[in-house]
Amino acid sequence: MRVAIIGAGVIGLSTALCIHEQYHGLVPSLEMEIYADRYTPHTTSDGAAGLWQPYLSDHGNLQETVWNKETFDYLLGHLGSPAAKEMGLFLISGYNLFTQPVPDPSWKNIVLGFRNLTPKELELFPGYSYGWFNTALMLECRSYLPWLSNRLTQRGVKFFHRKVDSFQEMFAQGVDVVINCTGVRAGELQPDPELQPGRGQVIKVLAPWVKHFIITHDIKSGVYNSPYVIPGSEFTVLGGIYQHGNWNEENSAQDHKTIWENCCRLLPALQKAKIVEEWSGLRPARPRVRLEQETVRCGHHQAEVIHNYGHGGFGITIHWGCAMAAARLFGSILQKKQLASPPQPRL
Amino acid sequence: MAAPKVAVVGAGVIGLSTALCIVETCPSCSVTVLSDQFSPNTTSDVAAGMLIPHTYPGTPIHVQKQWFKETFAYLFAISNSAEASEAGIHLVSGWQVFKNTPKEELPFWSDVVLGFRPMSEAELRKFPQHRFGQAFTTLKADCPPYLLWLEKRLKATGAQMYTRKVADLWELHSEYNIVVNCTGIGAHQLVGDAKLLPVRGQVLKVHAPWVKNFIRDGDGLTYIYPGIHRVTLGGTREKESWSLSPDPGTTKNIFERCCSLEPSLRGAQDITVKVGLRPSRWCVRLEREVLSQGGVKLPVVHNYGHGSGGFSVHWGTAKEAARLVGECIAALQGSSSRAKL
Repeated sequence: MRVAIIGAGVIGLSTALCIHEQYHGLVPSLEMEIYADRYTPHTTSDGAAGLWQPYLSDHGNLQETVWNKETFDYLLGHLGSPAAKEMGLFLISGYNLFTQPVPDPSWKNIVLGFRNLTPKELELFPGYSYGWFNTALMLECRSYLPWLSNRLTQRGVKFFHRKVDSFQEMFAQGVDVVINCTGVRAGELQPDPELQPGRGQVIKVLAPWVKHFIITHDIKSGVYNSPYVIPGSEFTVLGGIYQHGNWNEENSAQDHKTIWENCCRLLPALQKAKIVEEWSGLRPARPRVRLEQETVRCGHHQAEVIHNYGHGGFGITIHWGCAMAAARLFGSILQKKQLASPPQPRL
Repeated sequence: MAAPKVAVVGAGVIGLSTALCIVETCPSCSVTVLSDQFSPNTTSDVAAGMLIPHTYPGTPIHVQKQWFKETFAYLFAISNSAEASEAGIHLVSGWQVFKNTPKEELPFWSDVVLGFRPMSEAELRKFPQHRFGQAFTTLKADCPPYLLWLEKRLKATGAQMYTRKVADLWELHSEYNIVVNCTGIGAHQLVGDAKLLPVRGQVLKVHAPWVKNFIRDGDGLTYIYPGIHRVTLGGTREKESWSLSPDPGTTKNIFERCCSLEPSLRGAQDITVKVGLRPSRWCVRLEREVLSQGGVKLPVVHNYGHGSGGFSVHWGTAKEAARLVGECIAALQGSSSRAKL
């Protein structure tokens, strides 16, 4: 049974690991391969700051709220383990700021210590009159992706550095199941008008005195179009750009100015921060995550594809819940092929 | 008195902040800081600089609260300005956890720090050995940056600073009109204060930049305070120990205690060990005294004995000391005008 995962961002690698952990013991013939044209540190995941935080509203996608919670609980459980540092996983507290009162988010009971901001705290942020404080998690992909890769390599999973042009290409090689974790470029394998780039740009600075994340919200301009500051283990990420439909991966001087001015206004101490790097990336935006199985005709037989893409700006936040859901879909494929049933005694 | 000459003895957080307050309240004063040690070799440099007050048994609570409020407000304004990183002042959130529920669930300073509240069940699960906790956001003043920033501000006002060991306050009477004694633990010998005793603290300063929250055991012995570049792990409270040498057994013990609160510290790098002697006293000695020898008088303002609460109340006590210096000046002017008659 050959399984190929296409895509090596946080979704591809975690889905691969989840499936391998759950089914390698049950399916001794399981051979897993990963194909990608970009590996860490060049994936979309690598550019993200790594803060666990869903969007403000789940738009009725309760399924996604469950996957977010499963991810948070999974990561929280790993916090005390020796692997945490290598995974790039740690707790972080911080602020969400608004210019008017808003309803509590779907994730208020998932994070730790969620509460409203006091008037004195709001004094820190002129222009904002309402907000939340909570403790959440950081999962830095420039550590997490190598950690996942190491776990996969240890398990004998093979990595291939090449662009896959079609599902057929995989099936023609003898792959039985393809897991499609191609993120923003999934449309190149199968057209999907619902999938659009949500272009973001960030400035990485040295500002080790910043210990809290600060996410501002402007309900009118939409998610991530308002300044945010997220301190990592080495750099602090300044952002606040979300351009729907923009495929340009080049850094924009105008966006740089927007981010820098807005973030320095938010946190005057940043004026003295040294700029280290600038990065642009394309969030794989979709009204909802595409996480489903599809049977594809391939010559005379049927082949299976599990789609797991379209995680927008919350891929890290939702990744493990989705990986487990993808693994369940894989399990049902195995059942259909009767590969997961225990061997019958010969009579 | 045209330009009163004020000597501030001591260049830790108390000496430097007091000198700065004096300059600000008495612009005509000429202020000189004298100390045998400057940053990075003061007791203040060893401390984490967290604004979490220590309770002095001998000072009314409302006074301590006022000192803390003034200090918090002062540093809060700096943390919110472009100077924050140079001054080493930053906000930090975290938890104070207790193995046994404390008698006093609401400390006197709970409404001065930000967002003070009991910890939730989910938060406490991270600390299986602890049954109760408080979450809040406070300020931290990293040293050396904060002391160097105070020194820079002092120099900008024209104040002078000299390395000099003062063996006896009286030796300053011919050069200065008023002496301000901010010698911390040095006061034990300098003015023979037997009520001032060291409480030895050993700490580790480590590289663990993923630690963004503070954790403090309510017993005050174990704490993890993330600073700008280093995390301070503590500690000890050894009464009447004068030893400034790090003890390796203690180092190991501190590390283990901190790792049990925050397991990820096992990955900490570049561990350095420091020792400081908290200048402990049942209350801060903040008062005037007039030394006299053979008809010559030397007004002295004492501002020492802050124990483990120096950073938490420093600006409040500095302002009070500056006010007392003002009283000394008024008294000197009064007596000098009387002398003219």
